[in-house]
Amino acid sequence: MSILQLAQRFGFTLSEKAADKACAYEDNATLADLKLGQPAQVMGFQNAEHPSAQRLMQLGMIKGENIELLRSAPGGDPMEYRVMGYNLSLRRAEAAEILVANQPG
Amino acid sequence: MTATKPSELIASDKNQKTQATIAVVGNPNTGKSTLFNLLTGMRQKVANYPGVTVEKRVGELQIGEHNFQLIDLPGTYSLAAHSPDERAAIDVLLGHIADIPPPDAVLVVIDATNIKRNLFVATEVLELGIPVVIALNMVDIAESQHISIDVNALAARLNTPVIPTIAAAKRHESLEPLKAALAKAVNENVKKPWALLEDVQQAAEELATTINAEHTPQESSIKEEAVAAYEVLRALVDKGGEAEKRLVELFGDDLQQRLQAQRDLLTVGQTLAERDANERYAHISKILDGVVRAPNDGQQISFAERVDQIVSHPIIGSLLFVLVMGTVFQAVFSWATPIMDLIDGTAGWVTEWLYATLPEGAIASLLADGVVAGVGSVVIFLPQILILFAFIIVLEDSGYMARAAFLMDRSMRWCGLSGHSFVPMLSSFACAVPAIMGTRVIPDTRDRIATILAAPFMTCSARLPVYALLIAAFVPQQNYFYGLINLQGLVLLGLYLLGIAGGVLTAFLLKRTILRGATPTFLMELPPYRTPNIKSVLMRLVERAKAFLVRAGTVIFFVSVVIWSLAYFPRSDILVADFERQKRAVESSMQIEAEREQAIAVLENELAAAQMEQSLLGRMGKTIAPVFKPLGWDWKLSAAVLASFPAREVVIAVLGTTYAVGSDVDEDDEGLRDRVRNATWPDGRKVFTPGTALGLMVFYALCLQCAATVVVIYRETNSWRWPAFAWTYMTTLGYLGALACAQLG
Repeated sequence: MSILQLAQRFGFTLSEKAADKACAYEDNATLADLKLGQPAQVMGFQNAEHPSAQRLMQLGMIKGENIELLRSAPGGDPMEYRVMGYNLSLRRAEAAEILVANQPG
Repeated sequence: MTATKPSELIASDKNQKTQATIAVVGNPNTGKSTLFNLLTGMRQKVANYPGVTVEKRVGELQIGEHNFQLIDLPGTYSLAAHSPDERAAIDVLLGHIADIPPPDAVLVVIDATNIKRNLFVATEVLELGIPVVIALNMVDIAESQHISIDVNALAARLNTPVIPTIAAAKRHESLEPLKAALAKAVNENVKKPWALLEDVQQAAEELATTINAEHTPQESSIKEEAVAAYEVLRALVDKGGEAEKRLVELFGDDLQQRLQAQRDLLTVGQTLAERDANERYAHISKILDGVVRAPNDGQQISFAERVDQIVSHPIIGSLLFVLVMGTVFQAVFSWATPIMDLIDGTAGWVTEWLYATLPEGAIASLLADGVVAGVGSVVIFLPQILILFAFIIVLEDSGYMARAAFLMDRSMRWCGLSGHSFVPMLSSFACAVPAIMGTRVIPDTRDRIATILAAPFMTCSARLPVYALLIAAFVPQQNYFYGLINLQGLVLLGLYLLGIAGGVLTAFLLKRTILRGATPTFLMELPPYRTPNIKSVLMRLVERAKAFLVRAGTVIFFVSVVIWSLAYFPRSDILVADFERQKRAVESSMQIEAEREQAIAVLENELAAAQMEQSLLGRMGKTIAPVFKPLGWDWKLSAAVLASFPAREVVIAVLGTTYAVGSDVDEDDEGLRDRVRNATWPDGRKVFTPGTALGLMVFYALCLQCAATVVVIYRETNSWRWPAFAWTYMTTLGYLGALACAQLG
């Protein structure tokens, strides 16, 4: 674990300049991969029939919706996101069900 | 006054026939319950929906001359139901609940600071074909965040009245427009319900018509006249959900295949649930376009975000959490003490007064030791319970509870629970009753039951006096490490840890056996911080206190009287005659008054002990003694343990009587301590070996000796199954624990 990750784990927000925003996420990245200060957009679900999928969509996990990681709890799990104008907490396991991509532009 | 308009005729006719019913729907954290409380005032009834643990809250609202019945449905993000608890909302809306008529109108409460997500459930309700009034709540907060909303345009686009309301409506007049809109809505009819997915709606209508044609009410088992098209729609969209389950239960597996066949026809590329969510949000975005103007997201979140950077910070937030919980506990134990002492003192004074005023006999004893002691044992916990409830309600309403759950989720997960369980578990160290009532914040039913069953293991304030007595009597005052560690304190710590271990292991085992299920999710909104509405907090506090006094209080009171009569009857006249004779002898032989009085007091205590021995309770103790024999308990201890099943702290008074030191002892009484320490078997062996004493403490640590808790478990789980299980399980565990300790010698 790098010092960078360690600092993040303990909740210190890093300078946003540090990372290249445009290509922060890989092709099949999920919400669990989200980095602080690097918003993404929701692309869909690993499995649309996942028991939580419907509830997650109702809570705003809709394709094209912007989403940002705000922080994670002690131990890195659960995580808190901002989506659709409010804050939502998800466990890492659920976050890994949701596919994300870089925000356009 | 002859020209009455036809519409008014119909209106008054409708209201005379039945009281109109209005259901209140909305997301959690929208101020829905506060609004409900402000609308209905104290005219509320709280019960459970049949078969589930969800609270059914019904209130009355007076508008002009008309009386309306308001039903506050549990906060929900959607009408889709995937668990029996989530079903309550749709069941009420479709008229499936026996004692609630189908609602004449629905009040949907939406949060003006987050209209988009809030409109999800609102647009679902609009599809029901019931008149809807939307309360756009917290417009004052939205305004302070510079969110501007064109209310008229919103109402026009939704085709339903939208009434702005403010979060902390202090003046009643501010609710008048909302009341007027509701009064109007109940008399309206929706001509053609709006439908989001028209093809699905059409398929649902057709299938509903077919089912209704195939099953006339006589031959099917359903009570309703017809299956609603909306229920079929829900069954189609929420695959595997509650609507599907209910319909399949009523009409057989054949229906499941028909539903799936329809789904296959309607599903193109994405599931119906996906289509429903995607198209609904697309529709909502269109509605809101140009209607709501908000400043950049970054600006409006600044305050809450700044607070959260501290409150939810992994390190600072955790320290703050410890501080908050420390304050709560400090308050529960130190603020409550003077009031509890006052109650205790008053009960003691009333008891003395009764004995002094009334002629000696059963009536005086019943009133003093049965009624006053019974009422006292209920009321004594009220200060602690009220303080704890007040903190829990304020923490919930302010939004902090969600942060606590967020911080604690990881640490609770390894025993199979989630962060939601943490605060109820912690509250249980004061008293299991408010803790179990506080499990309502846990969304997952299995988690909630596991928490309810684990909570009574925590060392509550009623266990403390019992521990204090037993530790003082049997654990030597020994210090280690230059007085830093004290053996008595160590034992107390051990008993606390034993309780924690018992609770945690219970949750762990339950979640892996009878409460096993899909890993619960932790989809939780972290609501914005808000100042709790004092009126609403007070109303809920009063309601919970009332619930405790009525549900638990009546049972404890009744049981106290039963225990009293078991300990009092039958009275032996021979013993009394004996006592009188000895008393006379003492009176004539002893000259010094102080000595004489002391001797008589000893005689009185011996009489009480002898009466106890031949009372029903004493006989029961002797009968059951063989069961407790392996634990090393004599009949006196067995009787005291039996008597303390309704309320564990009673054991001190009963031991006081059986060991002839009087019943008005407390845990610090040296006489009782010495008597207990020196109690012997008929053959002269000591009753309390270290093993027996430790076993007794372990028994009290693990056993569910609290009628209030049993009743509250019943109330919260809505079945006798769980309290029966909890009682049997914990008693068995206590017995086995004590048995193991007795083997130590």
